[in-house]
Amino acid sequence: MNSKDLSQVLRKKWGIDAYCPIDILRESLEHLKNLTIIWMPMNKEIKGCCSKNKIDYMIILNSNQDIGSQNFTLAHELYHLLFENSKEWIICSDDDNTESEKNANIFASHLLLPEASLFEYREKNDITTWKIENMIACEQYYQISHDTLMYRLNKSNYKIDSPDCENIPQKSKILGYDSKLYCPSPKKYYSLGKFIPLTEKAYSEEKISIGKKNELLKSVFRSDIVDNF
Amino acid sequence: MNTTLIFYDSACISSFLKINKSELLKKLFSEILVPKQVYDELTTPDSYWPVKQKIELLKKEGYVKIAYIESSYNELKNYKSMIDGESGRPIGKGEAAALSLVISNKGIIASNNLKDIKKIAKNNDVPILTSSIIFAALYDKGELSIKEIEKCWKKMIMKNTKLPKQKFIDYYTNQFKTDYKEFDCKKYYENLIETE
Repeated sequence: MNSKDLSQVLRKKWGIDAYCPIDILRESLEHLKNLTIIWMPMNKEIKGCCSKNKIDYMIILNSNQDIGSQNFTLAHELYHLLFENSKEWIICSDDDNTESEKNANIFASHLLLPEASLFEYREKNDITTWKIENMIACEQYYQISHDTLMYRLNKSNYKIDSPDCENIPQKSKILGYDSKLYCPSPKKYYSLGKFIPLTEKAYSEEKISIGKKNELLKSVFRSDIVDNF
Repeated sequence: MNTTLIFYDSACISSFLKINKSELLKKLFSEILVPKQVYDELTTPDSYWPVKQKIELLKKEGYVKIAYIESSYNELKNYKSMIDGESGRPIGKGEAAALSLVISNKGIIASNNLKDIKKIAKNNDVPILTSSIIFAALYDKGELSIKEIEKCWKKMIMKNTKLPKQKFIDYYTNQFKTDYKEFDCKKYYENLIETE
């Protein structure tokens, strides 16, 4: 099965139809109970990385990327975790052109924006030529980056009205949207997922000291839990 | 003022930094020794910024001094055995560093994480200083009134500091004497409250 089909298999498995947008962060944490996601700033070439063992999954996202790109990277890393068997850390960068990376990109693109959904969106909004307003609206609806949409529109040979790609955040504000999709994470260092309750559980079962618990929470950038702020 | 070296773990020092009352420590101690591991814990990229800012300021002033585990066999051996949990459950690097430094320097450990450090401290004849005992000393020295301490005490609890009682007066009346004996406070307390 190719990675495009795998993306639809995953949607079905998660109870999400082929047409609606997906809150990839919420769905990942909901359906992958052993997943921990960490955000931290990395060099701009690095999109993210992932690793797994027999029990747990971990994804690290570059918090310097805009939210739309982070959503794509998260979907991309899910491909590596769920459909590949690497025991090593997989570090994903823009200039990586391996078969695995290409498949992960196709998977991510179609998980976030299934082909049928894009087709239906275009029909429903009566778009014959994609103007910048149409593109921003579509990006906001699916919570994807401008680059992700541009790639798909070009791939599908949809007519694009020479969009001015500059200052998308400002244009999105003028159109009445929240521009945070095009901005990096407000929290540069953060984490969500399994590691946090697991640390708490280890402490409550007296397997680690409170100092160790706090050290572990700080290691995944959750000082806010330790210090209650 | 006390001249025996006191090494702080994160819990004790941050309890004062979180409520912006580091100046209370200056009323009792001429300096604060913080293991490098504790300093690192307090200054992680996502640390509570008032704590991070304050510790950096105090370090710059020279009031907070960073202590390093030397490469002496015993200090490292103790440190490693504590973080590996060789004689109990693993403890944090900050606690372990503070304890191993205290043991090799025959000092005092300032920590609120009593459950885990108490046994190690007792086995090594190490006196313990807690945030509660610090407040008792401030009261006994006449530096703060009960009312002032209760205000700080309440703020500490709100900022997730684990204190033995809901109110200082309950602690002072009902528990301080027990702690004094159990934590070997006689080795340092009189020096602490001595007025110049």
